[in-house]
Amino acid sequence: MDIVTMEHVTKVYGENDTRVWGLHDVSLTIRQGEIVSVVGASGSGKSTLLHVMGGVDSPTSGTIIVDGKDITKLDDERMAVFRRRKIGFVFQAYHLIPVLSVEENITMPILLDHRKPDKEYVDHIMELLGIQDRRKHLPNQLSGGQQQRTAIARALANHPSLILADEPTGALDSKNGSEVIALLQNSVKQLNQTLVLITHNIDLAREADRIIKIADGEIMEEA
Amino acid sequence: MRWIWDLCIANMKQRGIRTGLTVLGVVIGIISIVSLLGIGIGVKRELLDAAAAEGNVTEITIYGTTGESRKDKMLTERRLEDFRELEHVETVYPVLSVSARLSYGRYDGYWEITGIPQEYLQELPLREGVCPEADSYRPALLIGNHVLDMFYNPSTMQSYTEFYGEDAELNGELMRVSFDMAEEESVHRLKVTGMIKGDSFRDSYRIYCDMDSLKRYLKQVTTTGILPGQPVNQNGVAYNEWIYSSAVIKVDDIDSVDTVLKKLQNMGYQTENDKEYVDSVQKTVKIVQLLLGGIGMIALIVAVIGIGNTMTTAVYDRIHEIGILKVLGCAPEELLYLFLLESGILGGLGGLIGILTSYGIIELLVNQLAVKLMKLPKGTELGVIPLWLAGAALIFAILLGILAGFFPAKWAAGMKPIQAVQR
Repeated sequence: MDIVTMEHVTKVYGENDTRVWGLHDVSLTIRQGEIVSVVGASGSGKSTLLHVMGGVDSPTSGTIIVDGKDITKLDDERMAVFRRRKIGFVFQAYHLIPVLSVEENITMPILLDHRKPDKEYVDHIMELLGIQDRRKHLPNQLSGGQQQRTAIARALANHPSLILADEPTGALDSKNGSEVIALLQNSVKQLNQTLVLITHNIDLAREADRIIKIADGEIMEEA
Repeated sequence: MRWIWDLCIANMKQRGIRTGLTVLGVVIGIISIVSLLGIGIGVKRELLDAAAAEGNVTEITIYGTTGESRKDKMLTERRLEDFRELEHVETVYPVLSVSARLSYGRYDGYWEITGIPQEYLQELPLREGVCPEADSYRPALLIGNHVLDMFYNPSTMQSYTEFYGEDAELNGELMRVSFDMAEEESVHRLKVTGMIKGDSFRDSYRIYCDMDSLKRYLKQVTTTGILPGQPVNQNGVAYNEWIYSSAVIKVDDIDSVDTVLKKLQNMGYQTENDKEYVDSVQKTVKIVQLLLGGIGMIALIVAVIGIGNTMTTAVYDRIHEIGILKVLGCAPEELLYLFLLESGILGGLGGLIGILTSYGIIELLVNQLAVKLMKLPKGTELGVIPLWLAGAALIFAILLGILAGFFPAKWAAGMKPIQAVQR
C-alpha cells in the first residue's frame, strides 16, 4: 500500500525575477513500512520535499496524497488536524518547546488532539529512547542527544503513520547520531510506521530500504 | 484544552519579569480607576447621608429680614400664621437665634444660641444627658456633638475635644455666656444639660435651648430695653413683638416641596431646603466622579497599551514556539485561544491585585489617614468600594487584557507553520 503519492509537485518561491524553484515537477511514491533516505546537496530541495509532504508548507502545483487523503485540498484547520494525527516530525534543531518538560513536550501532540496520553505507551517510548529519568527536565537542561531523543519520542507519541526526519543527526556527534538513527529505525519497524529521512551521512543513508537523490529540485535517481 | 492552560502558565512563569511588569501596569491602572471612583462614591454617600440626616427633605427653612426697609418680610407670629394657611403646609415653628460668646474653663467659642419651641426640642436625639426643661428661670443648653470641637484655648489654639477627646461632655456644667450687646458685657452662667447625637449635620453644630425660657431670660437680663439679637427700627427703638431669625416649615408631601418653595420665594423670602441641597450635592458629586474617573481611565489606557505591547513582544519572542506548535498540529483557533487566555490572565491578575490594593488604599490612606488629617469625624467613609465596582473592574480588566492581546494573537494564529518554525 502506498502511504505517499506525489504527482507533478512544484514549489516556487518568490515572483518574477526573484523566482526560485524549490521543487520542479516531482513525482514519487512511498510504500507503507518503508524507510526512505533523501540525499542531496544543500539547497537541493530535500527539506522542501519533506515540508510539502508533511503539510507544513503548500506546493505551488501538483497533488500530494498522504494516507489516502489529498492534503493540497485541506484548509488550515483540517491541515492542522491532519498533521497531528498522521505526521511525526523530527528536525535537526530539535524544536522542543523551551518552557515545557521532556514529558510535557512528548505528550503535546496527544494533548493537541484532545486525547488523554496513554501513560504506559509514553513511558515505553521514553524508556526505548533512554530518557525516562529526564522526564521532568526542561530542554535546556539536556544534552543535544537527549534533546533529539525527546524530539523523536514526541514524533512517535501520536502513533503517526508517517515520520519525517530532517537531518536528525546533524547536530550530534557520530556515535550519538548512529544511536539516534538506530532508535528511529527500530521503533519504525516495531510500530509498522514509514520513515522518510534526510541525511548527509551516506553510511546512514545506505541503511534505508531506498535512497532518493535530489538535485536542483528534481529527483535524479532512486536506488 | 488543559494543555492551553498549562502552556500559558508555564510561559508566564518562564518570563516572570515581563509578566510581573505587565501585571504591575494593569494594577496601577485599576488602582487609579477603582480608588478614584471609590472616593467619588464615598464622598457622595457622606454628602447625601449628611443631607438626609440634616432632617427631612420635606422641611423648609425660611429666613426673614431684619432691616426696617423690608419690615413686611420680618418673621413675626402673624407671618407664621400666614405660612400655616398655605396649602400643603403641615406645621410651622419659629427659630430664635442669639449670638453669644461662650466659654468654659480656658476654652472660648463664638456661637449662636438657638431657641425652638419645647415640643420640637424634645424631638432631638440625645447622645447624653437630658433635654432642657420648659419654663426654667435660666435657659439650659443642649449642645451639638461637634460644638466642643470649635471651642479653642486662645493661648494654645487647641480645641476642647483635641485636649479632652471625642467623648468630652459638659453635662450639668455651667457655661459662661455673654450675649452680643454693644452696651454691656454681662456674663451669665447657663447650665448644659445634654448633648445631641451626631446624626444630623445641622444639629451637630448648634446649641439649642427652650424658646420660651430664652425669651423670658433675655427680657429679664436686658438693662436697655433692647433685646440681644432683636432688630431695632431706624430710631433705635425695639419693635413690640418678637422677630424670629428663621422658621421651619414642614410640608405634607415630598412632591409638594417644590410648590411650597416656589410660593415662599415668590413671596420674597429666602428659603433653604434639603432637597435643593441634595440636588446640588448630586450635581457636584457627578462632576467630581467624572473628573476622578477620567484620570483613572487615562491610567488604565496606559496599562492596556502596556499589555498590548507585552503581547506583541510575546508573540515576536515566541514565533519559533508558535511554529513548533503549528507543525505539531495546533489549529489556528487554538493558538488564538492560547494568546487570548494569556492576555486575559494578565488583565485578570492585574485587576485582582489592583482591586485588593485599592481596598487597602481606601481603608488606610483615605478612610483613616485622610480623615484624620482633614479632622473629619472618626468613621467618616470618604472612600467606598462597593462589590459591584470591584466585580465590574475585574471583568473590565480581563476584557481589556483580551482586547489588548487580540491583534498579536490573531497575527500568531495566521502564521505559516514552516516560516514560523524556521525563525
